[in-house]
Amino acid sequence: MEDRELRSWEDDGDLGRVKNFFAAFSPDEAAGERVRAKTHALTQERGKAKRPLKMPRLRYIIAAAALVLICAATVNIAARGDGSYGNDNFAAAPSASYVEDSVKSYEEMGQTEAAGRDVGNYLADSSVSEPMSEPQAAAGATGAAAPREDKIIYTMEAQLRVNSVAEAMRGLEAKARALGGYVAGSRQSNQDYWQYGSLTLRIPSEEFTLFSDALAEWGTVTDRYVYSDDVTESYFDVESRLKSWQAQEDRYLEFFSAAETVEEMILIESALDEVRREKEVLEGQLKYWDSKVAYSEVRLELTQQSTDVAVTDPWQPVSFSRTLAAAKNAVIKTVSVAWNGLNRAVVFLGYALPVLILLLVLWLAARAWLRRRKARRQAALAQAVGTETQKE
Amino acid sequence: MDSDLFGQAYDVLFPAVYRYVRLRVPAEETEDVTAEIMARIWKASGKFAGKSSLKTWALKIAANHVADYYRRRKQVTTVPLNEQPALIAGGPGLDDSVPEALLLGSVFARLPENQVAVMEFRLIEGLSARETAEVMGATPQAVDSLLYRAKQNFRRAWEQETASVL
Repeated sequence: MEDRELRSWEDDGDLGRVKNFFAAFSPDEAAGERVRAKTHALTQERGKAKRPLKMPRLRYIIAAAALVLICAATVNIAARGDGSYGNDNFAAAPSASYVEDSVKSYEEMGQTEAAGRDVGNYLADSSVSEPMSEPQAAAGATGAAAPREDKIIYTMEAQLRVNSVAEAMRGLEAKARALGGYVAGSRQSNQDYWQYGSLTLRIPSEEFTLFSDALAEWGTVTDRYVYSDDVTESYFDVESRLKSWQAQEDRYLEFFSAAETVEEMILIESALDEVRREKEVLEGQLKYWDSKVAYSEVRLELTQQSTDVAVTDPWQPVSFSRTLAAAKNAVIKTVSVAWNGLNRAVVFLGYALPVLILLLVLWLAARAWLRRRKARRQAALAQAVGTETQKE
Repeated sequence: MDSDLFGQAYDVLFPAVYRYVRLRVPAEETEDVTAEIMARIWKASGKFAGKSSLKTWALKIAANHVADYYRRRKQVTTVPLNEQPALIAGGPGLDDSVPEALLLGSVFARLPENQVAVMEFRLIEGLSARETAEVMGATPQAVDSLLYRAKQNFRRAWEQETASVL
């Protein structure tokens, strides 16, 4: 305090009076001890309260772990997105998954004959007669009607429970080839607890029943659905139209031979193109039906026979051998789950490692900075205590 | 925090904090509130950056804590200085001059609270005008002016009280 001000308080004794007054509020020794003990108790309580979350450090660790999880999940999703994750092979989960899908699509083949109609109109303007009506053409082309063969497409969908999916698939494929058929599509997936296979076979129609009856050789047929699609009417209708267009083509060829001018030849050539295009569409449709009729489609879904012991009647004891099998299965499952978990943890660490290294570097830097700051503050406090002690 | 260092800091700060609390909080709660403030100082000591003096920093914590104390209790008025038990019973610093202590209690009771506070910080705790301003949330000029008015009022009140006794 400045001397001038101090003197003004000292001159008339007021400073002494003020000091005397405040002295009444100063602590005595006993009060000092009591407050010290209470302060100590409070600081201990706060220390204990802090202990469960050891300093803010645990919070940082929890936050870092959450960050790692988020990063790893992001990396994981990204990896799945580019398909690389699917190539990971875990040692305990040998999986052979392959897909062969060669099913052809003929859907585009059912085209309309609108283009042909346009050609007909064009030819009418050019004094060229329209194509014969379809029934006429059919009668003209075939003469007396030949006995018609039914055109029926047979399809079967079945589900099989088998002892070994891989073995059953091999057997079924071999059987199909032996009967003169072929494999249109095949898929097999082997997981620890779930084996699944699907087959699409094309079997010669005359062998269809034989193949269907033989299915039980590879397992239990749990579901079978056979259906047919009778395309006879449509088939012969298309065939008739094709013949009609064929007759039309023959007539245009005759006109072409008789044409005298280039203009006539060009006109007929253009009409011939349209007719041939129409013919190709109809021929494709017929080929498709021929194929479907000649080879019946068989779609099979195969699942592995469960090795678990299913106790349907609790009062009826299962056999001892089944119990042993169930116990063995349980042990294998537990070991497999644990091993798979370990594998996944290692892979997860692989994903998380770059993030963890980055976080470690950040954490070390932050810790060094915090320590330096703490030391600075400690020094400042020590200096301040020294200054106050000197004043006292 | 280093416990030896805090022990030294405690010895330096405790009397000032105790006086501050004793003057503003009922006597039966003084020790508890002081202990709470000292524990708060211990907790905050890791954040002391030396920007102000240690006593200024500690008294600011004490001022905030006492304000919280009254806010929690929704109590605005403090204990009148002329009714302070320390004055009536005779405090540790009041040798045998109890009548003068009672007289001083009446004198201080006539002074505004901020004038008592500026006298405490400047004359008793030895804070500078800038440090006092920091604790009270005012400017150094305002503190000087307040101390001047405190002096005038104290002298006037003292003269009036002594005249009435005579």
